[in-house]
Amino acid sequence: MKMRITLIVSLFLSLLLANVVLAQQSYNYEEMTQEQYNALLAEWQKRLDAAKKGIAEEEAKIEQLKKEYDNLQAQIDQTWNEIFTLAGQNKEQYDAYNSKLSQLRDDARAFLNLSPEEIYSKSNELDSLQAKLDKCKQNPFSAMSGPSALINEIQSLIDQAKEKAKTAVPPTYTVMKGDYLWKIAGKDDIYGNPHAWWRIYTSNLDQIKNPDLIYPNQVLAIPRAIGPNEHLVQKGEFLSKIAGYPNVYGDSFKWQKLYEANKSFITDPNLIYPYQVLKIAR
Amino acid sequence: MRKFKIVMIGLASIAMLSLSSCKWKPSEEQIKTLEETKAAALSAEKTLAEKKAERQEWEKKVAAKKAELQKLQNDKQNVENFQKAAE
Repeated sequence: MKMRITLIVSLFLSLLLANVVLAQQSYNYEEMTQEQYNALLAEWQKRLDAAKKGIAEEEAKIEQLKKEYDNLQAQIDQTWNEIFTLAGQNKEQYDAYNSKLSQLRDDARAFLNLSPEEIYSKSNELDSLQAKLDKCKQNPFSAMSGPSALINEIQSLIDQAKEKAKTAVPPTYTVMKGDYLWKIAGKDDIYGNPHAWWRIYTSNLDQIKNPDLIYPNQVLAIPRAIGPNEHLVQKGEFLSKIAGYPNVYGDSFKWQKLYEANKSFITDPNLIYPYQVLKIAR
Repeated sequence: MRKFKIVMIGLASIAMLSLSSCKWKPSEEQIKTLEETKAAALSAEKTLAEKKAERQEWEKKVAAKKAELQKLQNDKQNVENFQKAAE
C-alpha cells in the first residue's frame, strides 16, 4: 500500500516538474523551423536594441531636466532674496506674517459661525479684527499673491460677518396713540413681558427723558441682543456683582464706575431692576 | 510481387525514419539564447517604460518650478510697486 502511494506521489511530482520545465520555455521548440527560430531571435534582438537606445535617450533627457530644475530653483531662491531685500524683512518675518494672516482667517471664520446676535454683541471684537487686518495690509508682503489672496478671503469673511450681524441690529417700533412702555414691552412681537419696559427705556435714553411720557410716531429701538459694552440686568443682580464679572470690570469695587455711567436712570445705586440695560464705560 | 511489396514497405519505412530523424531542432544553447534575449528585451522595455514615466514626472516638476518662478517674479514686481507707492 505504501509503495503504491509513493509511486503515485512520485508520478505526480514528475508530471509537475515536467510542466514547470515546459512552462519556462515560451515556444514549442519541437515544432519550430530554423527560419522561425532565426526570425524570432532577430525580432527580440531588435526589440532589445530599441529599448536600450530608448533608455539611453530617456536618461539623457532626465539629466537635462534635473539640471533645468536645479537652475530654476536657484533663480527662485535668488528672487526670494530680492523680495526680502525690497520688503526690508527676512524669511522668518514673512513666515510670521503668513501665520498671523492664517490666525486672522481662523478668527474670522469662527465669527461667521456665530449667530447674528452673538456677532452683534461682539461687534467690538469684529472691529478689532478689522483693525488687525488693516494693519496687515500695510505690510509690503501684502502685495504678494499668496498673502493678498488670504487678505481678500479674511476681508470677505469679516464683511459677511458684518452683514450677518445686521439682522440682529435692533428693530424699531413706532409708538401709536394710547401706547405706553409697559404695554409695548408686553406685546408678543416685542418682548412678550411688560416688565421688560426697562429694556426699551434704557435702550432709548436719547429720546425718552421720562418713561411715563412717550409720544405717537416716536420710533423706539427694540434691541434683540446685548450690544458690546452693555449688560442686561438679571433678577438677583446688583452693581458690585455685575462690576465683578470678568467681561465687565472683573472687580466688584468698580461698581461706582458702572453707577456713574448709568446715573441717568439709576437714582439709587442699591436699587436696580431686571431688564435694565447698563452701559459699561471702558 | 511479394518481394516488391516488401521492398517498398522497407523503403517507405527507411524514408520515414530518415525524415523524422533529420528534422532541424534548436539546440539547448540556441533555446537558451532565444529565451535570454527575449527576457532581456522584455526587461529593457519595462525599464524604458519606467524611465519614460520618470521623465514625465521631471517634466511636471520643471513646469511647476517655471510657474513658481513666474509667480514669484510677479510678486517681486508687486512688492516693488507697493514700496514705490508707499514712498
